Amino acid sequence: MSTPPTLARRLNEWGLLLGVIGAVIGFIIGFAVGTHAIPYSFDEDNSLGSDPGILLGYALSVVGFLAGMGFLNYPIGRLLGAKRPTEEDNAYMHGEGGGLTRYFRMTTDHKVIGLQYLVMILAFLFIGGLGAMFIRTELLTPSPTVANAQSYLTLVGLHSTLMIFMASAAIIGPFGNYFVPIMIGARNMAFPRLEALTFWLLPPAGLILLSTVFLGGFTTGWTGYAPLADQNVLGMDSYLIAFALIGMSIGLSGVNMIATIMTKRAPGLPLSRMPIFVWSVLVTSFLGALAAPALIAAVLMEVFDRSYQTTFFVPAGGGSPYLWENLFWFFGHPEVYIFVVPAFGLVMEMLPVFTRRPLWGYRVAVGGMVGIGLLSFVVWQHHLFVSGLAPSLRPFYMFSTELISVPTGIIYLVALGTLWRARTRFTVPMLFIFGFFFNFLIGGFTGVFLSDVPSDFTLHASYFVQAHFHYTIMGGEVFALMAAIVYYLPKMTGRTMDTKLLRFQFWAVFITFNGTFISLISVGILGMPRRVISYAAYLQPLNISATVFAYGLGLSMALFLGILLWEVVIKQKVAARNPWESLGVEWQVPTPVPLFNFDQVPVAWSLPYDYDTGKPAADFGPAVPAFSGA
Amino acid sequence: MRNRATAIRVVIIVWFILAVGGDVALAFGPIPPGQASDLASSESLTILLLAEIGWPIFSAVLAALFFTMVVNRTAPPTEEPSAAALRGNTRAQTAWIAGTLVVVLSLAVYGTVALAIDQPGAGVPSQASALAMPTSTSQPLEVQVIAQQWWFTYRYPTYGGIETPQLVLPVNQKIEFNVTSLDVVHSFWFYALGVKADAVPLNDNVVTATPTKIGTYRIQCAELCGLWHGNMADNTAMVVSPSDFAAWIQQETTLDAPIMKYLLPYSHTYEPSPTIYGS
Amino acid sequence: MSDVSPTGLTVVDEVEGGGRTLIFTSRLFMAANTTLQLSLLFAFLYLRANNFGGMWHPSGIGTPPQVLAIISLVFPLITLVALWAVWNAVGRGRESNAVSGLLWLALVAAVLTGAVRILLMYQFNWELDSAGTYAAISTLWYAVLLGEFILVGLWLLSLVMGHVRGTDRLSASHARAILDQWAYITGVSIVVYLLIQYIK
Repeated sequence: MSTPPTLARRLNEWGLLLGVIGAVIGFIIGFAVGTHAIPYSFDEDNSLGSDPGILLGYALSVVGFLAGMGFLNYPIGRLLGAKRPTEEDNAYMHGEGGGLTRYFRMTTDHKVIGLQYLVMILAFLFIGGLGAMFIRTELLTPSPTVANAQSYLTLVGLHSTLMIFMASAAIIGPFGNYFVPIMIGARNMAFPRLEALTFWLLPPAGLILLSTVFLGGFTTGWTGYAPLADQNVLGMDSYLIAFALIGMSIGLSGVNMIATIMTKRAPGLPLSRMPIFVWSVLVTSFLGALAAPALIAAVLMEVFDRSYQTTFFVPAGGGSPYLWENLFWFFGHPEVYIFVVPAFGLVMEMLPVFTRRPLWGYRVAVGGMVGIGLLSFVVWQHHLFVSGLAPSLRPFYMFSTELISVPTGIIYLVALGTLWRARTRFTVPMLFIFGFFFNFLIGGFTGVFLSDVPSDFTLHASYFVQAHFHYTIMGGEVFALMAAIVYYLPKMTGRTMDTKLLRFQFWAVFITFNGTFISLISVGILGMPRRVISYAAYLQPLNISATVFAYGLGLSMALFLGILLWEVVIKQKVAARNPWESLGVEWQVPTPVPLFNFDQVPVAWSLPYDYDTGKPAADFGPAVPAFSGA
Repeated sequence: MRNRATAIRVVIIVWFILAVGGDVALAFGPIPPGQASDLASSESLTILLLAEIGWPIFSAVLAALFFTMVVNRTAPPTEEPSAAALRGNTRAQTAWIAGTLVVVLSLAVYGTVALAIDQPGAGVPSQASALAMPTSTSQPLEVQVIAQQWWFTYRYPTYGGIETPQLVLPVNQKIEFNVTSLDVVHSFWFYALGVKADAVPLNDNVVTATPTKIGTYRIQCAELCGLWHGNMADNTAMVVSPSDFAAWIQQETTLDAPIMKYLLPYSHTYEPSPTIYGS
Repeated sequence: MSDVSPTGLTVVDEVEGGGRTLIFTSRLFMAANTTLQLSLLFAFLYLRANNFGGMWHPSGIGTPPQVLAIISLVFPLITLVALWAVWNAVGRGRESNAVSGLLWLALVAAVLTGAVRILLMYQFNWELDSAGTYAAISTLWYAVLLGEFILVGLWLLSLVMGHVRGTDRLSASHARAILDQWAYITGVSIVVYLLIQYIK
C-alpha cells in the first residue's frame, strides 16, 4: 500500500488485543450495572455475584470484544453518515497485504474466515475430546473415583455443549465459508462483515462456556432442562449466554449464506447446476435461519427466569418444563440436521471425483436434502415420547420421524449409484467417506429403534441414544470433516498430507470409534442411563471396554491433529494444484486463491461432474488456462 | 467382466448368509428388556421385529457399499476407466423410494397399533377413583411414583395412601404407575418391566404394566436431575406373590401409622415447595 | 488452452447482487423473526392454557395501559406511511427535498415509537417475580419488539444521515428493504397488542 495506514487500520491490526481489553471493560461495566441497578431478590450462594450481574457482564463483554475488534466502526460510520469505505478500504479489510496477521483480526475475506473457523473448531474439538477422555476415565468404575458429582456433571455439560457448538459449524464454517463463494463464482459473500461477525461470535461463546468452571459449573447437560436450570448456580448463566451467541451465529450465518447463494451466483448458474455441496449448505442455512430463533426465545425466557424470577418454566409459578422442552427441541432437532446435511453434501461432492463418474441422481439427491430439511421441523416431539406430553400426538411424530429415513436413504442410493461399476480411486478421503457411510448407516438403523415409540420406551435416555447420536455426529459428520480436511487441504493451504500415516490413522480411528460406541450401544440396551456418574456393577466390563477403545480413539484423533500440524507447519510439502484431478470450479482457481477469487467471474456451463467427457464446469475467460489436470 | 459377475455372486451369497444367520441368531438371542412384564414383552417383540427387518436391509446396504467401494477399487497409478457414465435412473430411484416408503409406512402402522394396545405413558389415569380396590388382576392397581432430588418414593392409594421408600408389586396384577415429581424433571425407569416415564412436577404421567416374574429389580432415574442423578437408583424393587404383597402392605401400614397424619392427602400431583426456587 | 473465452460471453466483473440482495435479505430476516414471534406466541398460548395455581393471571394484575399502548402503535404507522412515500418517491426518481422531509418524518416518528414504548414498559408496574406468567410473557414480548424497533430505527437513522450528508444516495431497493422490515414489525406489534390486551 502506498498510502500510510490510517488510525483505524493501525487499531485493526491490534484488533484481538483491543477486543480482549474491550471484553474486560465491558464485563466490568455490565457486572456493576447488573449487580447494583437490577433489583434481585434471589438468595442463592452468590458470593461471586448475582445472576443479572453475570448475565449483563457477559453480554457487554461480548459487545466490548466486538467493539475492540472493530466491528462497530462500519455501523457507527453509517449512523454518522460518514463516507462509505473506499475500494481500498475494502481490499484492506479483505486482508490485502496482511500476511499472517489477517488471521488474527477482523477480516472480511471468506477464505481467511474459513481457515479461522477450521483452526478454532479443531482447537475446541480437542478440548471437548479431552473432556470425553475424563468422562470415560470416570466411568471405568461404577462409583465416583476421579471426579465428584458436580465436576463430573459440569464436565458432561461442557463436553456436550462444546461439541454441539463446534459440530454446528464444523463443516459449514470452514468449508462452507471457504468454498461456497468460489463454487458459485462470487468474489465475496453477500455480507462479508456479517460473515466475520458469525465467526468472531464463536470464540467468546466457547470461552464463556468454559468459564462456567469458575462459576460453579452447571448440572443440566447440553439440553439445559428447566426447572433444573432455574435451580443451578451462576455457572448456568455461562451456558445461556454461550448458547444465545451460538444461536445468533447460526442464524446470521444462515441468512448470509442464503443471501449469497440466492443472489450472487455467476452467470449461467441456475439452481439446477449448483454443485451438490452448495445445495447442502443452502438447505442447512435455511434450517439455521429458521430454527435458531426458537432457541433464542427459549434462552431469553430462561434469562428472565434467572434474573427477574419470572416463572416461565417453574410449575409452581404457573410455568411449565414442557415449554422449554418444546422450544428447545424445536430448535434442537433441525440442529442435528445442521450437523449432518453439509456432511452429505461434502461426501457427494467428493464421490464423483474419486469414481470419475457424474453424480448419479443429482436431482433426487437435492430432493432428498430438501426433504430432510422440511421434515426436520416436524419431528421434535420424538425427544418427548416418554415425557407424558400429548400422548395422542405420538403416532404422528413417530411417523414423521420414520419418514425422514426415506430422504436419508436417497443419499445412500445416490452414493451407490455413483459408485456402481466405477473403478473407485481408493485415496485417503475415500477411506474416510467409506467410514462415513458405514458409521452413518449404524447411526441411521439405531435411529429406527428410537423412532418407534414402544422400543423407545426401553431405549430412551439410555446410552443407546448416546451411541446413536455419536454414530451420526462423530461417525458421520466428523469422518466427513476429516475426509474434507485431507481433500481440501491442498487448496486451502497449498500443502499436502502424508498418505501412509493417514491410512494407518484412518484404520485406528475407525476401529476404536466402532469399538467404543458398539460397547456403549450395548450398555444402553442393558439399561444404563445417560449422564450418570454411578451405574450398576454388571455394566462395568462393557464400560471398561468402551473406555479402553475411547483412549485409542482419543489417541488416533490426536494423531490426526499431529499429522495435520506436522505436515502443514513443519514439513510444508507443496501440494499439486489439483491433486485429485477434480473438475470443480474451486480446483481451477490458482493456489493460493487470489484475494477476490477470480480475475473475472466465470460463466457456468454445467454441473462439475462430467468426468466422462472431461468437460469443465465453467468458462474462466481467456485469462485463465483451461482445466489443467494435476 | 466375468470376475465382476463372480464378485457380485460372492457378495450376494455372503450377504445372504449374514442376513439369514443374523436373523436366526436374533430370534434365539435374549432381547431387551426381557419378559418380566407384558409391557416389557411387547417392547422386546417390537425391538426383535425391528431388528429382524432392519438387519437384512442394513447388511444389504453394507454389502453394496463394500462391493462398490472396496471390491471395485483401483489404485491411482493403474487407472482403469470407469464404466459408462450414468446420470440417474428413474426406475431405480422410484423403486428405492417406494421400497423405503413401504418399509417406513409398515413400521409406522405397526408402531401405532402397538402403541394403541399398550398405551404406555398415556398421560391420563384410567379410572375415576384411585382408592377403589381392583376386583380382578386385569383391573389396574394404582401405584404412585413420586420423584424428588434424589430418590423415589411410592404411594399406594388403595391401601390408605401409605408412602414407602421401596417399591413392591404383586405379580400378575396390572399396575398403573402414576409418575410425578416434586421438584425438577426426573424419569422413572423400571428397566425389567419396560416402564419409563418422565416425572414432571404438577404432571401425572401414567404407565400400565403387569409384572409377570417374581424377583428383585433395579430402578433408576433416566433424566438428568442434578447432582446425584447417577445415584438416584435402587436395587431393591421387588415383584412378589400376592400373599407376600399383602403381608408387606400390612407391615408398611403399621410402620407408616405414626406418620400418616403428616402426609399430604393423596393426589395425582403435589404443589412443589416454592422454597426450592428461592422466591 | 484458448485465447478467447469459449462461451464468447462478455467479461463480467462482479455479479452485483446489490439492491436485490438487500430486499431478499430483509425478507429472510423477517422469516427468521417469524420463528421468534411464533415461539413467543406458542409460549403465550401454552402458559395461558397451563395456568397452574391460577398463576397465569393472578388477581390484581391488569393489562398494559390502553391509551399508551395505542399511541405506541400510531407512531410506527406514521413511520410506515412516510417510508412508503419515500420508497415511492425514490422509485420515481424524485429529487431529494421531498425525500429528505419524509425521511426526517419517518425518523422522528420512529424515535417517538421507541420513546413511547419505553414509557409504556415503565407503566406496566408488574413485580415480575410474583405477577404470574401473563405479565412475564407480555414484558418479554414487548422487550423483544422494543429491541427490534430500535434496531430497524438505527438502520433508518443511518439512511437519513447518509442522505442528509450526501454520502449515500438512497436507492429504491434500500427504501423498499427497510419499508418491508418496518411494515413487518409494525404488523407484529399490532397483533401482539391485540393478543395481550384482549386474550388475557
